[in-house]
Amino acid sequence: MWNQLLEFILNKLKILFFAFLLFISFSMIVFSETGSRENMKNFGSGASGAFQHLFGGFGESIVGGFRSLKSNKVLLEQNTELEKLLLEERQKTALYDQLVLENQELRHVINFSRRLEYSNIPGIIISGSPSNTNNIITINLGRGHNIKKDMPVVGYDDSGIFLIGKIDTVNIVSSTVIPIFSEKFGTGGIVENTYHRGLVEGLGSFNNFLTLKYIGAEKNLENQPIAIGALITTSMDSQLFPEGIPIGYVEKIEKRAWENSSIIFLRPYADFSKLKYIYVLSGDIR
Amino acid sequence: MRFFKTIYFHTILILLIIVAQSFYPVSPVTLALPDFILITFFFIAINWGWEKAYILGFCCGLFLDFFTPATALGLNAFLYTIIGFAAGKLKDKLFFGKFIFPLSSILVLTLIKYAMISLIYLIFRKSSEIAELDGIKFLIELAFNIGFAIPIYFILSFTRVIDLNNKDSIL
Repeated sequence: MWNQLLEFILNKLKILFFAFLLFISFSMIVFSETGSRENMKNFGSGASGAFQHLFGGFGESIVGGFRSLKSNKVLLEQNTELEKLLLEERQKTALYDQLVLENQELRHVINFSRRLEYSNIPGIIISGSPSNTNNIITINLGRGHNIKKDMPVVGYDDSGIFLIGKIDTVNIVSSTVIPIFSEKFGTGGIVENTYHRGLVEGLGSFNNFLTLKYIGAEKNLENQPIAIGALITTSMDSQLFPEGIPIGYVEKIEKRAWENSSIIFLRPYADFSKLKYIYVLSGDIR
Repeated sequence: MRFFKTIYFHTILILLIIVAQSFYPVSPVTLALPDFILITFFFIAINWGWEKAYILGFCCGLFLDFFTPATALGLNAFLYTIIGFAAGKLKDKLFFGKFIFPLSSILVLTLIKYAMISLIYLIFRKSSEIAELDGIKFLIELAFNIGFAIPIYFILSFTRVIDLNNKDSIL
């Protein structure tokens, strides 16, 4: 019992002695740092100041850490809100860019529309392609735009005006167009240089070719042959279209023994695969 | 009697190293030196146990303070007392082999030493002369200490100053 107690005290004394040595050595540091060799009064303040500095700094760090956590939370919320705003602004910007592009395109169309010598209503093809079986093109102009049946539909680019077709059915906000390559299409045409006149008809969507028929006696062609690539335009015989609008180019000429006149195959002037904007001619077109 | 004899022998040994290190040629570029005393003291402390090691550490640190007047009086005594206590507590607990043990322990020891100096520097930061904290100097000293750890360890083992009762190395 006594031995155990003695051993316990001795063990504690070792620890206490260790603490005492630490205290002595730390005090020496404080002495040497506060200049207390000259003034012993500084020792206490130096030592307590050192501890205050240590624990004060530690406390400040903890409090600062909590403050940082709180401010981080606030900043995170602000960041989330800002990200939402940024997303909205980006969407608005994308919409704005799209509107700018559309605006540029429409200005382009209106510019062409003004350059046309005929009064016209600009529009856009909203469905239909040259390969469809119905040979129908739908445009975004309808009864509300004063569109009427059989009105000429033309295209326009930097090289000038060209024929696309004619209005077929008219709805409130849209209309269908019979393109020149449709079997339902027909108009008077004239070869630009030789002035041979005939009837231009479509052959349907599968070949996209047109024909120029009934151009007169065979001997007319022998005297004044039609060149491959010659331009065919609308003639004065046409009741629907103004005279001189390009329809297509001569692709090939077939002479048939059982017919009085040759058949001239035409390639359309308009590239229907790229066509987007059209102009419906209105008013007095003659 | 044997206890005092051992203390006497080892104190003399460390004092000799202190004196030897005082005459060590000082590098004009970095002022960084290997801390022979720290390394030697650590190996002795880990061999002795904490009851004796911290007393020896206090004594050696105090001597060192007198021999190195550039540092604050008591700084080395404080450091060596703590290191002696901590290293002594590791007695019979570390068996890392003859190479890994000296290297890793001296690496950790040097880091702890500089951490403690930094802490004291933090406490007394208004008077910044207490310790010269220099990152490059620290790195060079770290490299020196690691480099000299194994030779010192072998010298102390060979001269039977320490007997760590090493088991077969596991590394």
